[in-house]
Amino acid sequence: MPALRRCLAEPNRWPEILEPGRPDSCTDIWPEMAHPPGFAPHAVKCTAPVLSTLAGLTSLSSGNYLPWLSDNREALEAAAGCPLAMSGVAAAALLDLGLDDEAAEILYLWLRLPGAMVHALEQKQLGWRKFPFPGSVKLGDDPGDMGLPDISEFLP
Amino acid sequence: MSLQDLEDAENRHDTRVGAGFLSERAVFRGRDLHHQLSDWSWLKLFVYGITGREFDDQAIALLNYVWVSTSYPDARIWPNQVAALAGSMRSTGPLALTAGMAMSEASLFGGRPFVRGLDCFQRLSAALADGSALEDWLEAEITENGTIFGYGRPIARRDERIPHMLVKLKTMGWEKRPTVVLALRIWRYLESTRGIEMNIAALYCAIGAELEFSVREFQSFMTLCFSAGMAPCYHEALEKPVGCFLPLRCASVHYTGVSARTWE
Repeated sequence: MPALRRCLAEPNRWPEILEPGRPDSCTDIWPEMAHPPGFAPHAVKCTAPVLSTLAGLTSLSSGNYLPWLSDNREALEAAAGCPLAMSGVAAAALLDLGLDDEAAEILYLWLRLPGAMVHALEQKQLGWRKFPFPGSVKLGDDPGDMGLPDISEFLP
Repeated sequence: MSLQDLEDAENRHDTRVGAGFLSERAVFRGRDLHHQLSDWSWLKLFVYGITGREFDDQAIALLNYVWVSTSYPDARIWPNQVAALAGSMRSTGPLALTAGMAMSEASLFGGRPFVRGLDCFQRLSAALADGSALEDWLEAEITENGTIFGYGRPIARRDERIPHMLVKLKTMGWEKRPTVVLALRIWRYLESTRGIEMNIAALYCAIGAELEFSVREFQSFMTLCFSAGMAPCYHEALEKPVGCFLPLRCASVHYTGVSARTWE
């Protein structure tokens, strides 16, 4: 939300505003952002769900941010170096709803809970034997197998 | 950032920190956990896991005292309140402790001061090495970032942990370490110019700086520092009648919102 707010106010500084990293002079508890906020770092194009959500919400909005984001999406993506993500659409919607940053952050987390919930409900039905566990690992610093102690003396 | 990064990481986990070869063995940062690390203290293992460095016994004793000295089983202290509330409502111990630890990263105390304080010492030490004057740097820092973390304390002015920690540092021959001395010089300056006292976070961060922790390493190390104080608060609340930790009657709430209205 702060990034979109600044981008709308300062149209000539988009690449600088969307540059990942921390603008502060000192380190804080959060690690530095590794991608522009609201954009998808690994995506090759803006996905259909993002585009349709953006179009749908823009048609309902009486605010400034969603229409502006719809009109400028491709230029913003060029400045960001990657496609718009759903979180970027959500940020514009929450700005148009007039929420402040903290309230919007909480609402956004809350609205994502149903997705986590259905995973939990499904996993309970599947059972713990089907809980995913990646099979292989490539260990780069391995002292090698040193064996197990002989426990034959402990056995009755 | 590209799709290639994702494709390269698909269906593989490359690591140097370790792995569990179930039914066989476990490797912890290049060493066999059961064969080579079984005599280590858990704290030494924890710090080795974070940093990849093996600290000597004196350093581990000092880091141990950092945790001991801030383990206060007082349920009024904010993260402890969360743990006690969890016990009062019959939640689980792990949920109580993790909730308490999660909120201990607040600006008010704990987590954020540890991060900002160590970062401040690192930047200040570099500036002093480049010839800056301490007083000028502090004033510029206060102007730019609003505060010097590790100085000032909510509720109480004086921090009773400081004399004990200074004595402990002296018994270990650490009282003249550069960052410890620097922390005390900052205290003197802020006290004389603004009446602000040092709090224990400054000395913790000085120790972190002397042991060459990075900010992120120190942040991880300090994660559990309040938890020994939280657990008794949870268990005592668990033993008391349900819902009876710091109850507040409705009449005690000074409500200033919309006045009572009729449901229709």
